[in-house]
Amino acid sequence: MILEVQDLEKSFGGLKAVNNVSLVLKRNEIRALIGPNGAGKTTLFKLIAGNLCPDKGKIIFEGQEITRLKPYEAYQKGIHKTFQHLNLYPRLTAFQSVQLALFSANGKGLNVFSWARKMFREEALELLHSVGLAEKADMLSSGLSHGERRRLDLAIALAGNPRLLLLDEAASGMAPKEAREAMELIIGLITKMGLTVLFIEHDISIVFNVAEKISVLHQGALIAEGAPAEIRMDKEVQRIYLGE
Amino acid sequence: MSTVLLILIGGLTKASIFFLIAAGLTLVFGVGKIINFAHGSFYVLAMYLTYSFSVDLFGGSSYGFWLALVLTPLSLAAVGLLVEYLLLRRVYGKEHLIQLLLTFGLVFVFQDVYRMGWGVMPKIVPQIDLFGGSIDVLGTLMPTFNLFIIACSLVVFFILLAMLSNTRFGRLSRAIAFDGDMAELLGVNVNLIYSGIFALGSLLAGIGGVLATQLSAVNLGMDTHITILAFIMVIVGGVGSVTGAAAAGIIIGMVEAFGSLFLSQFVLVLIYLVMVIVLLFRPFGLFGKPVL
Amino acid sequence: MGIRLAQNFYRSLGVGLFIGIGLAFLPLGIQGYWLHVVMEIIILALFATSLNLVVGYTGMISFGHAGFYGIGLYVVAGLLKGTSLPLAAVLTAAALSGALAGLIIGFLSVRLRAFYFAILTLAFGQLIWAVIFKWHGVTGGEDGIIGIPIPAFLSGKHGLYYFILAISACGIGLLYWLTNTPFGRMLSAIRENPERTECVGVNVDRYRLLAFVLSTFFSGLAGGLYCLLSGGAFPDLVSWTKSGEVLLACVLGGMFTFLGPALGSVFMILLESLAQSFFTERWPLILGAVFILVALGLPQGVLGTIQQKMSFHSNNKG
Repeated sequence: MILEVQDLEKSFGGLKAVNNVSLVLKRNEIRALIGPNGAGKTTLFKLIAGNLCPDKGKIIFEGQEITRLKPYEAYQKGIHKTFQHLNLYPRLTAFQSVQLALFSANGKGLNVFSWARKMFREEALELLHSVGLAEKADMLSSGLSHGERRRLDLAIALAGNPRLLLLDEAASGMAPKEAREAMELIIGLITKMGLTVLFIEHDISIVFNVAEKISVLHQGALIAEGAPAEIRMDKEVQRIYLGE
Repeated sequence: MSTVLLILIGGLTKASIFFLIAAGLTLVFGVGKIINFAHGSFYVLAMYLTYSFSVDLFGGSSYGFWLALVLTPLSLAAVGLLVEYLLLRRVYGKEHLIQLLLTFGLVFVFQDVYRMGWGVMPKIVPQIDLFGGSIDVLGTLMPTFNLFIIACSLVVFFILLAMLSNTRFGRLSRAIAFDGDMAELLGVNVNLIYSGIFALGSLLAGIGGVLATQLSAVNLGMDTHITILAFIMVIVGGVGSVTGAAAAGIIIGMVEAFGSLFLSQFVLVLIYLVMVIVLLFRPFGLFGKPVL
Repeated sequence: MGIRLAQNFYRSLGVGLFIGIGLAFLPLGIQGYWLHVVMEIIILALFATSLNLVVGYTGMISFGHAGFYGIGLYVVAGLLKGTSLPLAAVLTAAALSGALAGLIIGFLSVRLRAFYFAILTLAFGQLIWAVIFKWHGVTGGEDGIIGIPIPAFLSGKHGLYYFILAISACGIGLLYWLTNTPFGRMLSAIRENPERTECVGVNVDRYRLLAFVLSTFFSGLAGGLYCLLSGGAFPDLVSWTKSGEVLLACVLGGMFTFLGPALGSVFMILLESLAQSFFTERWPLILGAVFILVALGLPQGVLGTIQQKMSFHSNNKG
């Protein structure tokens, strides 16, 4: 197992956003996290990636406890994530954006003795190529289309061989066809690179096509977990998604 | 005892003026999200205008001052509206440094306006006669004008609070301070509110300026000093908070009053020290919420 | 844009050499007052470029940099007057004192963001100014320190000019190198998006602190150089108006370009001295009008706007 979440809790004011959630992820697993709006999916991601600190519970990653790590420490352990709301570097080019993730992942961020321009050039271009942005390498991020920015976001997260990839609605805001293609691209890359992935996705048809296993959150609590076929048959899940 | 009381009154008088200036700036900053480095220039302009009303028009009699108390703040509101409409409207939402460059330019322009209009010599507005100059409170003779200034700013304080919570303008302003984009989506005429808030801020600086003429002479170099002081109070009190501006005004006023008694050399150091300490422990000020 | 254009090492070296050689031959053409003006420009350019490492590159608006400049200024004044240390040691001490103050103040400030950071640095800067202004016994208070013995080798015809030019050129060159290293690139990333950068494994506050210390090191050096030019140290040179002046130089020239702040310094000093010599009466009005026009018309600054136009054209062609 690579990630183990034990009895995690997080409240905002009186609201329990994540309530007693436990979750185990095996190496190379592709796991989907679904649930209605406000179920606490993004909060759970933030807890794992260190953006938030849990009130209770433990997070264990590759045998080490990482419950209270800061985001940069979680990243250094190998937990990389993409963002639900696009969160890029408007005045940097696509190439520079990926390159800086490579600097960080390779521990070169504090290097003041080398000229940055040519460093990790091949790696950065290869990553851009793998997400289909090779042609746009020298474009400023602010000049990319929405779909291209999503892919750049992914390339940044892929830099430096993540041990665990958290994808927060990596295809949102796209037309259905584009979203499916994007998801196919992502899954192709993941399988090729042999990554472990936890992803949030709204489009249920994508989820059932892609995920090996699905966890369902509702009002902060984990209510079901299993293979797509099992989840499809689950009474509780049907109740939530289809109404009583 | 009576000395302490006098210093206290002196401190509260300063605090009242400080509050008037800081309240205007905190609204402009909190609602309009604009860094107005020319705020102190408005205040100084008000002092010069008061001088003109009082001395040039009425030969130094009290009538001129009372007229100025009404007309100067209104003129300042008009100047504020003009500046907002012609200049600031173009830089809302831009980089803070661009706003800084613009309002810094205004500071220089105003400085030249003072020089052209009133020359380089300090101007003194004659003290007005108010109930014989002093009254007896608990056996101590209190300067009446100081009490008048304190009363004025108290009235303004309560009017502001009431306006912000009870009027449509006040509620919309607070909504914009909280989330301008959202308010705009909900159909609020954001530009109109910005203009109103800027006029209000300039009006408050105007009232402060008129009253301040009774405490000190007007001279050319005081604009930026008061602007810095106002920003300190805005930050110490919390951006956008009128109550915070009042609290910060009192703190800074008292530090000045008692500091100059015991540590006159280090009043300036003390003020900055207060601010550093407040910011280190409460990064968003005494009454502030993280908005920017 | 700026960041993209200024990357080719050899092209940058070419531009740098061109400007440097031009400045080296300048004393053949101008003397006296105007050479003094040029020296002021060079020192302000070093100061502004060092400030821009935090403002333009890291996205931290420091409104207290005159404090660090002032520390350098007073350290040089005090050491030259009170000791017989060699000039190199004195200038090193100035830069290091600036950096030490930067370390302490930065440590307390970098966790604040945006405007709160600006105001806290303003307060610290003013604290330094107030101490200098009031600590009569050490700093001479309001009168400052005058009559500083300038080392003999600088008293030749253009000795001081070449010394200031050489040191400033080295400082600006080092800063340029810094902005093009991986560290410099991380700083740009932090400016663009600190939250995201934290999520790609960067301890943002530590980088911000490092940038601040490096910046204050060169600001202290610039202050030290200015002491040689003015022959004295005065509290006016430390107050927030100086912080404002150098910040405006960055904005005026274009803070998202490397050379913008230096160009802004040229405008700043030239404007001041031209306005003062030719429009003695109305110079604040002219200065103010220029600021307002730039803020409304060229929000990217002068160099930033030029680069934007250029890259727009090259994008259209290619």
